Amino acid sequence: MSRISVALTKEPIPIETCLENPEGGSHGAQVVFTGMVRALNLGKQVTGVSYDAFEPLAEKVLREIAEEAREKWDPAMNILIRHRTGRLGVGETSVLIVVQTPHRAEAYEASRYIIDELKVRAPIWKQEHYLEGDSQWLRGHALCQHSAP
Amino acid sequence: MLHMSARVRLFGEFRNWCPSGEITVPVESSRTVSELKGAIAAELGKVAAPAEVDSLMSVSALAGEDRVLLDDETLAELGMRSFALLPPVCGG
Repeated sequence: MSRISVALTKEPIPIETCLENPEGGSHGAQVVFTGMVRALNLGKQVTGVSYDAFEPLAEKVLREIAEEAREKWDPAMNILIRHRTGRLGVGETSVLIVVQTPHRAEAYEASRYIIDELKVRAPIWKQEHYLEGDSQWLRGHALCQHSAP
Repeated sequence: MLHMSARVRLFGEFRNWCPSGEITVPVESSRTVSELKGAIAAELGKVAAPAEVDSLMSVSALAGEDRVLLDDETLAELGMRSFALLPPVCGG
């Protein structure tokens, strides 16, 4: 795993191959977060989710978030982020975040920081598909930027 | 006064109104990002209820491939013809 690795992919995320540790034993902690498609949201039965993304900007934002995490907790941290696009079924992995550090505390904190920031900053959208046959794009966090006064 | 065609890629909820994911909007290069958003809203208002378009546009951003654009930047300053219209995000 390189120091920072970020990618969006249409293919299923190969979790096992993302967990290599080439640091020669210097990194004693690895926190792995996977987000998966839930079968129920706000009382509605979900059959799948379609992810849309503005990929060039999304990958840039994810890399910026990873760099911020390294600055905040440990410059030696290794971070891997993968996010799916396209249609996923219930239970499929939509996002994978792997954080490797010498000690566990900063790995947990950085992993939480990355997923929280990803949700409000990365230009990625999800459309839920329901058992009744209808679909809905979920609204989240606005990216509007207004000029300073 | 230079006229240009802005190519605008649409994402997320905007695809409901434009399944092709792209529209072209004629605009003057002296216009600002905010004014381009107004022109896009007018174009989308031809295929969707204007009130719904305005509601979503009010919480959406225009971006290039490397950053979200500020409302008062002019198209001439940016030197761009291709934009992305980003509704509120919800990845993960």
